[in-house]
Amino acid sequence: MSVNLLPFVFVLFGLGLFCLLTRRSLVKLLIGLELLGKATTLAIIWAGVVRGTPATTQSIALLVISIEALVVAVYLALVYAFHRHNQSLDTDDMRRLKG
Amino acid sequence: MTAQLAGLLLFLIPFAGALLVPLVNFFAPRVVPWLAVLFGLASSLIAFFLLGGTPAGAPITLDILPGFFRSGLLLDPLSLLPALIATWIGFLVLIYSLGYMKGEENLARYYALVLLFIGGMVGMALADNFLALFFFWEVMGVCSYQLIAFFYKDPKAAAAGAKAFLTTKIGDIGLLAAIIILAVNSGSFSFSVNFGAAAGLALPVLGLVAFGFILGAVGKSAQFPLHVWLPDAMEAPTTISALIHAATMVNAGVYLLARVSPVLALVPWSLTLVQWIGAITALLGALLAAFSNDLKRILAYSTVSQLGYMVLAVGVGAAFASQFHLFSHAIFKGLLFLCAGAVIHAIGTRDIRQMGGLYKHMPAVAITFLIGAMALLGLPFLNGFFSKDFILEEVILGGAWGPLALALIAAALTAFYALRTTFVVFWGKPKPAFYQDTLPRAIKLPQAFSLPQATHPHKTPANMVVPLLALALACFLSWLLVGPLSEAWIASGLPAPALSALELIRETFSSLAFIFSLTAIAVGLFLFLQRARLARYFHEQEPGWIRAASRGLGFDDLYTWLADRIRDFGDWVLMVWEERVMEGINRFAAWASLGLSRLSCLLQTGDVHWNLLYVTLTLIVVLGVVLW
Repeated sequence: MSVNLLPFVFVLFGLGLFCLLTRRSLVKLLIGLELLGKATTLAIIWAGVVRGTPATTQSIALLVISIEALVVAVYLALVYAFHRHNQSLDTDDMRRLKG
Repeated sequence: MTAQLAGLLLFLIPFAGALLVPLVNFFAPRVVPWLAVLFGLASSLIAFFLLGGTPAGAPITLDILPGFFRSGLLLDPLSLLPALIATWIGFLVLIYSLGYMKGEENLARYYALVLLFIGGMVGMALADNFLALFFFWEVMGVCSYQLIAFFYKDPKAAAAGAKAFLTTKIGDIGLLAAIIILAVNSGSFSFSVNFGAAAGLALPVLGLVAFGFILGAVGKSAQFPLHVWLPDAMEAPTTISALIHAATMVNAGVYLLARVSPVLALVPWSLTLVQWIGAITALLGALLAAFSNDLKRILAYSTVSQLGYMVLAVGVGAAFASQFHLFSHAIFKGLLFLCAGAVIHAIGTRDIRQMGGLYKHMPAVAITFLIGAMALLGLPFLNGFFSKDFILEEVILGGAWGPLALALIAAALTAFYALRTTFVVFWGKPKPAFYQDTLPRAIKLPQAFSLPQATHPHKTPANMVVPLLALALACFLSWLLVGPLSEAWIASGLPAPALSALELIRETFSSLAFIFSLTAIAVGLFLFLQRARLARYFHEQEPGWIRAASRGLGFDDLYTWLADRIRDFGDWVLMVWEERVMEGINRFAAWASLGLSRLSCLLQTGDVHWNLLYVTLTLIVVLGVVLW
């Protein structure tokens, strides 16, 4: 394989981070989080290609994806609860822990 | 039985008694006094036979802490005399207590403490090293404190106990300091080692040691200026104040001075200091006794005064004369106190102004008291005469003219107050005192504890009379023992003149001191005969010093003032510590933790984006560190 996927991974990671830091909607934060996750998964698979052990890394990637599904489920449940409580998805409404 | 074993038993028996008495009290309280008397008798008999059969210098040693501390018994006449006095006076106290303390509460405590006291005194005298001496010294101190405050429900008795304890502690600190300095120097607590090693010390250090010993003796023997505790100690039952304190414990200081006289001899000024302390005490005590109206206080001040003579004798290097007088004094003062106890027991007051004409009611007590008083003022052929003249003679030989003058004035005053007390109590009419009525009653006389004021004197119980007769006889005869005493001293290598009783008589009557003391007695007699004129003078003039003398010359006021200042200083230190230091630490801790929490609050933005930014930055830093 001649295409180097590493720049793509970085771009994807940077987009996810940018999304997390700048967006205020909880759903958009979830999208940013997912972008980070996908970048990481891609990095794992690419590492397997580079090291010549694709089977191992791909199985790890599968595991990561399935765990991410759980994370998304829990995240969405929390967001749903928050929304029911505050009728809002804005992170500016989540400042009760300010010191 | 060897002398060593006997010496050991001498103080172990009273200690065993002190331990056993409270136990026996659980199931047979009525036996307790008799049991205590038995223990007292046993140790006094041993002491009596020990004095006769001592081999010269027979020390025994026991390893108390093997390899570190070795203690032993020192049996020589110097140490056996206080032991003999302690056990015998103690035994007499116990017998006398059978009648005197009958019906009081807490008798087991009383008898246990008396026995413990006897054991402490004997142990102190027989110790061959400073550490054991100090230990028993403190045992005595604790017992005396407990016994003075025996009627602890009376606040005055409790206060007197605390006062005695604190005042003697001042001396104890000096003694402990001296002992520590000597022990650091020589690495041992033993007398003999330390006396040898003391010469190697620098003079200032040696002076400190000597001063510490003198301070210890001054505290325990109620010498000027720490004499204030002894008159207050008269709150105790007469048996205790009289015999334990006035006749026994106060000898400890004189014994200590005699024992450490080799060290004192190395410091030129220390003996002069001792002379002056003794002479001033003799005069002060006699003066205060002459202006007191409390029978027991008169005798207490008189004891202070007589101890002054003994200290003076040690100061001129005549330890033997001092011990000889100590021996005589223990007898006649014990007699006087026992008589006083019988009087107080009978009429329920200690104020001599309310007494008078008691000769008719208690002739035996009156006659024996008179004998004791004559011995006290030094009438020829009584024991006090020989021993006091012996001291004065030694003072003349020592060339201490200043102290001698004070001692002679004190002798005149002694004659005066001895005559005054005897005649006012036993022969005078019950009437207001001849010169003190206009004075403020410095000493508020409590009713003698539980006894009711009685117009008709009680009869004196027989077990109180027997010791009186024995002691009165001893007043006539005890000076005959001077021969054996001086022989024993010389035999154990202590400095003493070789004297037999006959030589003592010849020496005494041919000496300058005899004339001096006769003059002093004559002056005292003159003062006594002129007492009506004196009374008028004092009534009209009321000199300030008389007022002061009736209040103990202001020593108590001075010490109270000092104690108040010390307490103020303590309060101030406490205030600074609490309000400034501790409160400051508290405030700083509060301020610092508040500031830190404010700082750490800044980390807690509550904003998920800032948190994420920090997380990212941290990851970048960590990554950078790992890669670099």
